Amino acid sequence: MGWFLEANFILIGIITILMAFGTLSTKKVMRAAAFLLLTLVGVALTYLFLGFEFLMGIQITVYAGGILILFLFSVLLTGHEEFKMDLEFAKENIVQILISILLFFTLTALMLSIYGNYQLTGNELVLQAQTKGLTQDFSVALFSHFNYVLPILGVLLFSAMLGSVKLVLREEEL
Amino acid sequence: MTAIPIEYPLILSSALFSLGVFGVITQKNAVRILIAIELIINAANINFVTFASYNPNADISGWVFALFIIAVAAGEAAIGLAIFINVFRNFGEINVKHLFTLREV
Amino acid sequence: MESEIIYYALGVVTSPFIGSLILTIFAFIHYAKTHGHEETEENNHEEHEEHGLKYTPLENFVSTIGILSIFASWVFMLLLAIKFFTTEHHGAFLTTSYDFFGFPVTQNIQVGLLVDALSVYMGLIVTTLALLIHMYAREYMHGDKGYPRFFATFNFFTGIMLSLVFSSSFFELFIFWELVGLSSYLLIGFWIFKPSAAHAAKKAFLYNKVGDVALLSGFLILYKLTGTLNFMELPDKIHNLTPLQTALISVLIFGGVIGKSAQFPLYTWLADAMEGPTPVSAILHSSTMVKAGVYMVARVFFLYWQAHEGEYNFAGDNWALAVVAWVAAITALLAGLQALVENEIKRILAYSTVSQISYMVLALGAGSKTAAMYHLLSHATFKALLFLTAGAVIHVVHTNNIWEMGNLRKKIPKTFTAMLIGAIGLSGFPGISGFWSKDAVLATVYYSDVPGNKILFTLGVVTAFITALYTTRFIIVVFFREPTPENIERVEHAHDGGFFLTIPPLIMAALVILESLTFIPTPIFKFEEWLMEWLEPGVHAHEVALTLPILSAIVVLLGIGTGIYLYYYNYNILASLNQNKVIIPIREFIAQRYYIDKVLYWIANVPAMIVSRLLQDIDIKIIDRTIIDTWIVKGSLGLAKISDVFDQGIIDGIVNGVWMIALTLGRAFRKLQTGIVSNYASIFAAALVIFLGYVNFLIFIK
Repeated sequence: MGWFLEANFILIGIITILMAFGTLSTKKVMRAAAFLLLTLVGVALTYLFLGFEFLMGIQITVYAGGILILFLFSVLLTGHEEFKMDLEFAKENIVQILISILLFFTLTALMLSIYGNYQLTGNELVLQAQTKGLTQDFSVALFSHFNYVLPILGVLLFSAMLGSVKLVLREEEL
Repeated sequence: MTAIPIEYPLILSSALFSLGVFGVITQKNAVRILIAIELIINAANINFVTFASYNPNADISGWVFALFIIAVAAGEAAIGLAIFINVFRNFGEINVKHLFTLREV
Repeated sequence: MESEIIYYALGVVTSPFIGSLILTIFAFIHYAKTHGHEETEENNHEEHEEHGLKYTPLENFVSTIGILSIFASWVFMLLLAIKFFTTEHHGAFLTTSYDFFGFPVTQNIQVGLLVDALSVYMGLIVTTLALLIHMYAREYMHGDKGYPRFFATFNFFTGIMLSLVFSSSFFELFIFWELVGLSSYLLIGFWIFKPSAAHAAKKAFLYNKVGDVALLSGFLILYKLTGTLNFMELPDKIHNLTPLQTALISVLIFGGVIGKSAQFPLYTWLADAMEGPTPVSAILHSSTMVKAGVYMVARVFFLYWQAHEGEYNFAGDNWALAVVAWVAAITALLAGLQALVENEIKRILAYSTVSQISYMVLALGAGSKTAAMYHLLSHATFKALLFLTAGAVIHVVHTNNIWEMGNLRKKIPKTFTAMLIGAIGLSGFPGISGFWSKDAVLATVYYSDVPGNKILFTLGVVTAFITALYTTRFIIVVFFREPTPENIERVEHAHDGGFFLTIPPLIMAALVILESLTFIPTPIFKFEEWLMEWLEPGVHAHEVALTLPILSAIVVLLGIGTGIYLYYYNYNILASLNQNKVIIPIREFIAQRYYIDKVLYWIANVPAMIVSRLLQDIDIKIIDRTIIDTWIVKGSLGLAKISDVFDQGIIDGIVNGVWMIALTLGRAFRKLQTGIVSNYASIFAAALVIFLGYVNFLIFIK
């Protein structure tokens, strides 16, 4: 059973990364948004593998459902020029590509080495299997120990809403 | 049940992060840059959830943070897109290579 | 019982915020509708009609919401106070607190509400005065374009101050401390179209920031040393500190007070803050902003005094209190003198505030929380009253300069009555509230063991004299003296304002009288002792000799007499004094604020200039002259000689190479400052790579 999960996780991870790359390399912005949707769903599945099904729900509803619509609308409202990721692009952005690759390696090395150091102390990090009642635990925590989180988020989102409405409204529309 | 080593999600997250950074520094269309930023945020989120899920003490704050980040990302996307729509109205395009009003001379 | 108190406290703190939130949304919608009609000097107050005082529906709605929310807060506060003062445990703390996120780094940092005698006392003052000032603002701001914005900010400010009062840890207090700075910035610069207002707001903000840095470092050191920031835990933890550490922390924290409560080097912002609308000045000066500093010192008073075996002693070489006392005494005198030469009525009151706050800080420096809070109460009431009436006077006469007013007592009798009562309170007339509290401060100073307490006492008495003098001065000039011919017309048309412009000041005047009656020490009830029992349980007031009140009374009466003589009966003496060659430079010196602003500007400006000049000199002298003129010229000469020997082509190649390198580098560096976002992001990402690589390297060599 273990190898099956592992293989699935690797598969989904690779697909997610490919989709993320597709987001950046595709020709039209609209397609980029579609690829983003797939990436987000992939990330949501990752959450499921990590034992946090509640966040998967949030990810799909808020991100894939909410934010993506925002992107679609803004793509419609702004102009879109065609974009090609070809040899010319690579030549122009050689430094940037190099930076990104280096970033990937340093970041991975750093995280793995920190984890390795942790392992040296004799502790093995294993996924805490909490398949049952996790959502319940989480919601209990949200309303007991972390009860300030939701009000703060409310204020934050509310102000973001007011701000974006203010930004977008035109004078003559009022 | 688990056999997923912690390295896998970490590598996934750093790959997503680097792709996001790559997108931010190469893309010209502002909306695409915002999409790349979403990738970065998702990478950070995966990291949070990973370390919270692998934490032997079953600490839940990482998950709370992940929730927090999603909400912040939603707000950020809304504000950012509103700004870009305004930019589009004022400049007629949202190619960031052509928007260099930050330059002094 | 406890939970009830907590809910009341929650109600007190949240109601203004709820009001503010509603008004913010409303203001947002309102401004979105009237977008494009921005506020300017011209169109502001355009619909203002003196006689037909008619509120628009908008104004009615906004002010009702604003006043109601403060009223709710006030009711909660009354319930809380009744509940609290009728319970038996003196000085008991009732708090509810939450961990501020669950990080290991932020252990022991909590947010919550702390209800004790001090916060209840302060909260009572804040809510009562805020309520009256809100009512006043309803009419004062009538016709202003920014009506919803004003009330939204004003409610926010009140809520912030109440939250500060009920903070349970330094961390929380600092958050609200900064927010007080922010909202005062918004309020002082309320008339955004006036450059002077914008400047004043900026000045207030920056001067406060200077102090805030000191405060922040002070309490961070405290956290580092004791591991907690909670007010309830700190008194037990600070015993482990050395006297030097305690003194250092105390003085750093006092730095914040210097900024916020306008003490000696940083007090000039308060007079400029008069650019804001009058209700703002009233609330800023009476109970909120500037009193926050006094309140904070009272809150952490245990730092300044370390308790030993149940009684307060001067803790070894804790010189922090001496610093506090001396700064306060100097400020009191300087600001008092300045109030004496100032011509604008609100500025006179502003400097008077500085001087009176210094009394409170002086009392704290002399070691008595009680005397400070006592004076805070009486000062808050009469200063709010004075500001409201001054605002009413300005409102009807349309000038700020006292010399352009005169003989107003018959024109605006209600305002005059209220203002006179406030002025009597301020001057410290025997038997009135200001007299008793000032006397408590002076007695504290007299009997304290602060170094040089006799000099401090003398300074305090001199300040009391000056206070009486300038109070008499502006009362006589505004209300009794005949107006100069060119100003007669202006004064003729003056008349009392409407309901909300006169009733709140009159209520405040009634409060001053009530306080005066309460403060009179009788064998049955002595207010000071009652207060001391609550604020500093276990401490007993020093037995005050009768000579002190008598001395104080004589000084005050002397000041009032001098004022009447100089400004009313014998104006010629003053005129000749003003022509005196000795007096003129002194006057000028005081009127220029002792050049404090210029000195501060110099301090902020000159070191930076010196450093840049130095760098310029290095550039010119060393790099240009030495390196380029000497070495490079010589070197190139040598190169030229070699070039005679070597093939011309090689040198050409080198020169071309140098040129190429320079050009490439120039292009590369020029690219850094393109203004294109992607390039900045690339640099940022490259820096991230370098940083991560460095950290990797560190881990690797480990």
